[in-house]
Amino acid sequence: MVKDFLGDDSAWADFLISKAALILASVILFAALFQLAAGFKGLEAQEQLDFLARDFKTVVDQAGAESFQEGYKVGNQVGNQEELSFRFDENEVFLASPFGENIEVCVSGEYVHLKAKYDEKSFSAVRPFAFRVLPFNESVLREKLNTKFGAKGSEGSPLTADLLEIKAFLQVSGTEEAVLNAGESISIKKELIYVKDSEGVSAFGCVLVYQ
Amino acid sequence: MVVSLSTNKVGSLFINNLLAAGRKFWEKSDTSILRDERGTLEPHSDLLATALAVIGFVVFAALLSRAYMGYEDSSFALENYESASLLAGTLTEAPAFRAESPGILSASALDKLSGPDGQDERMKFFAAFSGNYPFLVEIRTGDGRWQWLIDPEIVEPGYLMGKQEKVAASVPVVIELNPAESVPGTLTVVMYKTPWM
Repeated sequence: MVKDFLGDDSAWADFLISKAALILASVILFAALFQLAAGFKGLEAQEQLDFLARDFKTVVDQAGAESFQEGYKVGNQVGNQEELSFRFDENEVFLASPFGENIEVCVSGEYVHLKAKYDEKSFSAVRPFAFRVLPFNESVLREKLNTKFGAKGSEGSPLTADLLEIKAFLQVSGTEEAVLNAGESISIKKELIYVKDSEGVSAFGCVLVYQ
Repeated sequence: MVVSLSTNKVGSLFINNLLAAGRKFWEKSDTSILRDERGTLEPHSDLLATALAVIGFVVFAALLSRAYMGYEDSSFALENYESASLLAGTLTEAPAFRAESPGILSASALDKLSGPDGQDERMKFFAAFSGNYPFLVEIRTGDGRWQWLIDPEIVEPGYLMGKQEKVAASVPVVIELNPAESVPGTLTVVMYKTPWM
């Protein structure tokens, strides 16, 4: 039998080995291609979340830019402090994203953090704000300032504390994340905090983000 | 005349030899490649084809990852140019910079803000910013005679002079040097990359 095997020169072994190698290589190649395609899907979802975070950050920064331009106008008529309304579900990217309304929006004084789950994978996008942001409404802000400094920081009741101390207090107040619902409207309001020092009364703006 | 005739003769001989050699090579290669029925490569042709396909796929994946990494590297500039541009546009309207005439920056206000005595003013000016983006503001006249540099002092001295990745946006402004002279210039916001961005 061994003699037959060794004497067989029809090259069937060559044929089988090369075909097996071909099948194996094809399977690996297709698996790699599908893996790449699945990776692109995840990448696209991450890009969509990044876009939404960037969009929100831009709106908040634009509100901050307005408040900045109106700062220092002490003694003059300060323009109406209008409240903007931001809705994630009005955004085409949000509607087209695979996350649906399962996006968790966390806002702190430093950044906006979007968290979402898709296909059993966690996605997250963080964008820092350029302007000073506080994740609560005006009454909470005034109450916090009143409790800490004994004045509400409004035009009629300016803060008399050191500016560095006020900045540090606002920074600490804004560290806690507020969790917002992406399916509901988010209010963005510019607010001026008035400070009185030896040179007179000045004001600086901050953006309040709340629901 | 004799010289030119002999040159023509040599030239035509050379071309004829070249054509004959080409014909010979073509006939030889035709025989060796197209009419060779020994089948030396036959059993392994599919392996070679697969190897080529795999090499092609690897090159494609490498190019793709390289393009993505290139995008990631420049994403700081792409993403933050918008913020730098917004800040530059905003600062041209900043009351701390403005002269009495609307839309004009005051050189005396800039002197005060950028000078060593302007620390309190700078602190008030930067109070509205979160501090997430270390940036400095550079204002210079178009002829380069005057230049003001305003930095936020929220980072260690010398930090903004390092080799960090940065993005800058400029807007044209008019600077009032004195009540009788106003010159064109630019306001530039230079934004620096920090480890958390």
